[in-house]
Amino acid sequence: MKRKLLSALPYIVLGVSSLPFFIMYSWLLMNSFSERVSFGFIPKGLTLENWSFLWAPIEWGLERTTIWRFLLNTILYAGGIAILQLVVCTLAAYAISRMEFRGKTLVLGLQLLLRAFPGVLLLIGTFFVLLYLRLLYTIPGVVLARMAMEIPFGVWVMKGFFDGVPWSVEWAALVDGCSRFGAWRQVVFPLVKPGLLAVSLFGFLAGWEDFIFAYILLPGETKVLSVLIQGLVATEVIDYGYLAAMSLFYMLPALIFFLLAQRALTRVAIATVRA
Amino acid sequence: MEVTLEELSKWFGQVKAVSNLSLKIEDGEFVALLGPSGCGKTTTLLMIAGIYKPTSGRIYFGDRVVNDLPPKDRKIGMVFQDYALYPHMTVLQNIAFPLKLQRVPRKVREERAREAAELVQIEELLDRRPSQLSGGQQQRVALARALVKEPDILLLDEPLSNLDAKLRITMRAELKRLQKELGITTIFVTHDQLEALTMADRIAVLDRGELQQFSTPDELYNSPSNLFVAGFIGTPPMNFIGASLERLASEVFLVNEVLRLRLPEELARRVATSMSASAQLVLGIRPEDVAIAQEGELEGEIQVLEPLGRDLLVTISLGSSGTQGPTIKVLAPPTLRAAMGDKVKLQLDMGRIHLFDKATGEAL
Repeated sequence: MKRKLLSALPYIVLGVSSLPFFIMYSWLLMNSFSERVSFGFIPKGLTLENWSFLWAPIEWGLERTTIWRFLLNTILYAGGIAILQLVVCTLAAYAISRMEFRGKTLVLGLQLLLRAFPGVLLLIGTFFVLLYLRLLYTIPGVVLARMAMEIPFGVWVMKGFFDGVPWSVEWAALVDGCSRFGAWRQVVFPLVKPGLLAVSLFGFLAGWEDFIFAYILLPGETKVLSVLIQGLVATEVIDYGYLAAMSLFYMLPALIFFLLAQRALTRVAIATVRA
Repeated sequence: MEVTLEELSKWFGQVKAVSNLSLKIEDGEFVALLGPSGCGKTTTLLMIAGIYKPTSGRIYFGDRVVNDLPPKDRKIGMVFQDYALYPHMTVLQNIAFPLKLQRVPRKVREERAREAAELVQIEELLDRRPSQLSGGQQQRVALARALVKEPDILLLDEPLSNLDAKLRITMRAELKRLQKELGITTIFVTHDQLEALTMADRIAVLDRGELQQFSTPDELYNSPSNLFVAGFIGTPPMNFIGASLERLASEVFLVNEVLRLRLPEELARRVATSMSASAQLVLGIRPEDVAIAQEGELEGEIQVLEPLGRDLLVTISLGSSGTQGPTIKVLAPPTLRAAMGDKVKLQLDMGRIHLFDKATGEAL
């Protein structure tokens, strides 16, 4: 009897600790499809009315804008961060992994330190930097700002992948007839693809979930989904159903992207050469 | 294609990896760069390949200085110690890669890749990935990849060190045969002196970045030019005994606490002119040039007997009872009747002794 209890213990613990999440998500789900909810749980009346933002413009007093506009903004924002991060981190990581230069240890150490640093503290400073660069209130500007916060992580991950490609394989490519860049493109790049996928994935998600940067550094008209949802909450009467539906809509693309990338990540076969 | 190294040096920061190396390798020669770990042989090879830039000195391919020529324009093929196969390509793609970079049309390059694969006998492995191959197979793929573009020079970095003992012996003969058949100038790096002796036409022995001697295996074995080469080449290694010179009338003797050897005339003459009266010398003699006999110039006591199958390796402590002399190793026929503790007499083949100046290490 005791044995059974002990083996069931992990399940019990995990079950209890995941219960809040389960409750939260099912609340979201149920609220989005029902007219009213009593006791916060039991749905009353199934309806698709809450999802009206998919076909009808959202009404904010005098404004009428469709959700698709905001979706586009969010995609541009998150996508921009992902791509820019990919380019910057990959190039930096390659240099750090492959080359010896003065201050290398310092740079690496800083990456670790910056990762722990809360980017929000830099918000005011960033505001002014973007202002002077005339990038304030533009999507490129806020993409740059947000993406900079993700660089340490990206560099660290990519450096790990580059370290995993032995010097001799690059040299072999040079001897076989590649230029330095050709060796990188033909030999090193295919071997670090999982890393690239991981970095772009995290970059995209970081951008997708970001609120504060988009809120402060973008003008009122240019909203991303997170800001939009926050805006809805700030009205006097909160339509929970509408809110829940929009929240689910906000979650979905990120979820799908993550699932797709995960499948691609596991499908990439990294053949390690036996020494 | 001849390769000439002229006063080549390579510094890594404060560390001198290669020091004023000068060599001339003839077309079609099979040359070994031999030496212990850290002697600069791989660094030299990488400079010849163009992967490292020399700090000073020049490298010539034929008449042309190639110091600034990138690896891809040097017409070389290289096999790395860990083979460096491209894990994301099949064997066929690996071998054909150099041709793909030369923009050889697909049909032609696959054909040539197959030919190269046949040369090293791996035709049936063409669709596999490197991770699915054994060490020996990977090495042959690397070799095929190096040869497929018909290079002027073939460079091999410790090609046999990752193979098991038996395969090593097979591949030694294979590589030598292949090289002779193709006639490509080949330079290979190894720390295994036996490998170098069996495969190379000439061997460059390096120690701590400096060239010790560059000759045929025969000459290195029989006429080493310094202590390092003498002790490095040959298994079991040469015995070294410290002694000093003594002149008595017209004769020259080698003396230490356990021996008094009269030098043969020719040697005596050579030594007398170059050394001062009481110089310190090192006597070198190979284990196979000492015989346990009834009479001899030396006597000693047997310490250890190691049967090697074909020979018996005997460790003997020199000196008559009471004196603790230097220890030497002697190769005796396996039929020798002896036991530990036996007192024996040793006969030296005086025509095969080597003398070195203790101070400089140079041969006399």
